[in-house]
Amino acid sequence: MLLIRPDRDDLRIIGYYIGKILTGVGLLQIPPALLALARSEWNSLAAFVFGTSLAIIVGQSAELRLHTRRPLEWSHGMVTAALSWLLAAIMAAVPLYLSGHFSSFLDALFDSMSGLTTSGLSVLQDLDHLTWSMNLYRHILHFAGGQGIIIVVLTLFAASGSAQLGTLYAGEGRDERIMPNIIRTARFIYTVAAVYLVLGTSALAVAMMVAGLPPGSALFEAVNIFMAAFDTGGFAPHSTSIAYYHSASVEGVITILMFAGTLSFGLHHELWRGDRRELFRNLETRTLTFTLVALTALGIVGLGRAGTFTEPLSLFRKGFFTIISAHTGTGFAVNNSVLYATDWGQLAPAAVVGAMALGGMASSTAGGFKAIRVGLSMKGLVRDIRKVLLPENALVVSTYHQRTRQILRDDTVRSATTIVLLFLLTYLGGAMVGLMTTDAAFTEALFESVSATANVGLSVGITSPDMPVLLELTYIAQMWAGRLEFMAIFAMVGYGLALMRGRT
Amino acid sequence: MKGVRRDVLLHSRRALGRRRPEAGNPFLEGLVGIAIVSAVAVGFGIVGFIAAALTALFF
Amino acid sequence: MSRDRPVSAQAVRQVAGAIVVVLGVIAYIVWLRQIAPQIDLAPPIPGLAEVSALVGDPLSCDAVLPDPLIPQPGVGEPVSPVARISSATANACPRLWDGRVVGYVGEVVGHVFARDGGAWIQINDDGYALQSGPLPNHLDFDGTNSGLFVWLPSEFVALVTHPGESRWQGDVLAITALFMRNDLTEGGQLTLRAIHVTSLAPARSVPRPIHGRLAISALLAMMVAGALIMRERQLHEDR
Repeated sequence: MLLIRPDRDDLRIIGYYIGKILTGVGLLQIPPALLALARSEWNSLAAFVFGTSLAIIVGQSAELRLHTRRPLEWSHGMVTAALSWLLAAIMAAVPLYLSGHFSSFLDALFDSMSGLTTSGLSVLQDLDHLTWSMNLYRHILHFAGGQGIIIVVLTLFAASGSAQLGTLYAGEGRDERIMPNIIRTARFIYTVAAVYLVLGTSALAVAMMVAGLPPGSALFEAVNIFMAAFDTGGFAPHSTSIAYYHSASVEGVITILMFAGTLSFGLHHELWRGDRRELFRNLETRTLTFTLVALTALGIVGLGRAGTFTEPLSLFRKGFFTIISAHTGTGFAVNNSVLYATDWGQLAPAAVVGAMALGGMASSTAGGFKAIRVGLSMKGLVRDIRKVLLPENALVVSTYHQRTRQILRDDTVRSATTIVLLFLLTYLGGAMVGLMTTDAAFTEALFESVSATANVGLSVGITSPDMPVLLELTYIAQMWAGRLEFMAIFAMVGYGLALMRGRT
Repeated sequence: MKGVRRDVLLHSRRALGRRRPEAGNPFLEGLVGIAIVSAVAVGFGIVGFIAAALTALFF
Repeated sequence: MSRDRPVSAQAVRQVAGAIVVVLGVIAYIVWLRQIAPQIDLAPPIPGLAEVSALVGDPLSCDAVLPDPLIPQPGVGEPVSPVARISSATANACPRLWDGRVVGYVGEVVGHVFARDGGAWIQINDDGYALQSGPLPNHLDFDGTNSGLFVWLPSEFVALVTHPGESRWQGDVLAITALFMRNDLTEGGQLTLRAIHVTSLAPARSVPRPIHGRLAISALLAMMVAGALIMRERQLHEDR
């Protein structure tokens, strides 16, 4: 295979943009630093000041040393996206490690990657004694990662022309152009998030106060839970996740926010602009409706059949919430994680795994295959079956609706099924590593692997501070790869190979 | 000529995915959008509750 | 096709140097954490030894236990627990304990959710609750938190003086409770409904000594970062 070796200028461009992104990631630590100052959490404040400064030092050094006016090409964008997510996670881990709640830097990196990729798996120790500012920081990582750290940083800085941002935008797994201009697209995304932030946080705070929290705590918890719900992250301020609040209304508001978070920003745009028919015509909403209803039914029936719950309210609150949490890629729990293995039977956890694997809509904050790929793959299959059944010279044309009516093309189907296959292989690969390194059963190892790759965050208990290092590294890689949907990482690996073996 | 222009306009509108020109208060539009999303989520909840009720009946 | 200026040995040395610097910074950060001020927060909890012995793990979920004891209102005799369980045991074998009266000991954490007739609390029985005390005041890492939800009847709510959080080690309570695997009033939640509660140790505030070296490192790093930002701004204007 002919590989052209990247030259110094190529590396300079990549380093320059990574520098900008790392500076932005450092600035994420300013809001929790201010909260630490307000609450006299001095050691947390020092950790954030140190972390911010370090990120700025690295980022600004790169910008100063590697300044260039050369335009970003497609390959640069892909490599920048892949590397910056990894390096951002490393920088973001610094204050987490200094908090004293992680036994190793690797554990802190696990949580920072989990935060940025909106996974929600955690190896943080003694969460129930964590400072408010450090808790806020964890949830801000969800918010930044969910909106897309590259797009957040670069549009805020308006670093360069929007054509260049497009390659970075696509590199971090977003390829839907809602508005003609990338910067306008990003600003629409912020607008949606901001409006939901105000309304969602208010609704949550009220529900939490009704549940018994004092106003200050209710507001703090509501902000954190909003960021984790809308960005389908899954971190929670307390070790018992959403069950902590003992409130059906809190669960109800969170359900709406999780659902909003799993819808694509393109669909939000259509709804906001008055095109409600898009909701019914869109292939993704149809696919998501079908899978959500089917898996909810399977999950609830599974719980009933296992005798876990036998009353409608229990079945609904536990079964429905958990399936929604899994399918939207959020990962909030309303019961102890070990119970999935010890008390939920076989069918219900299988439904949960299926929901996690499928995931939400593309161009949302959710993970997994994505509904569009599931829909396209199914349509492609039906089209191929029709071709077989119809006369040889019959012309079979399939269409689907995604904002406009589109013809189903072979390369579209192929692209969708390729990514689905990559996800499947990663799910299985992670399960194998889990089996090799722990005593977990296959179903449990698969559960955890799917949760990591699809950036969900539900756990059967394998993810823990004492899990084997190889497994921890595997889950970190799975969360990273799943968030970027593989292509940027393959581009980065290819770039590395070209660097070593390419021809000049 | 008139017919051609009409077709071109119609095609352009469809291509842009727009059914009516941009107008109105973006905040209100956002509220309506959020209300629709909430209603759909509640709809799924109702389906879930029906499934739970039927399951409780049979198991 | 030829490309100008391929990657040179000098560039490779620069990258290698950068990697060394990165590893050095990580080592410094790890050292900062290791030298953080530590406090001994683990005095023995009075009365813990007198509470009935903890049922050992692993416990077979097929074990045979006495018939469920359902406390009747107004009965004068105190109800004896079948065993003192841990949260790990409870979640490992929920059906084994369902409907039994059990003992449970731990630290109250989070908030007290007041309701009619009592309140919901979370009681953790992990190492931070009963042995080493809350992080980050020490380096005894005991894993993630582990606890159960407990319903406290109103007569016992006053025993909770301050739940545990970042600046407090919460009250340590010993309870005798009815184990409910599927608490219908809580949407099917696994809960303990307290019948009797004793406070073993009151809540206490946790000192947080300032980590001087971290603070100094932060200030120095901030100055360097500020200088770099100003330099970058200056160059940006010149361009």
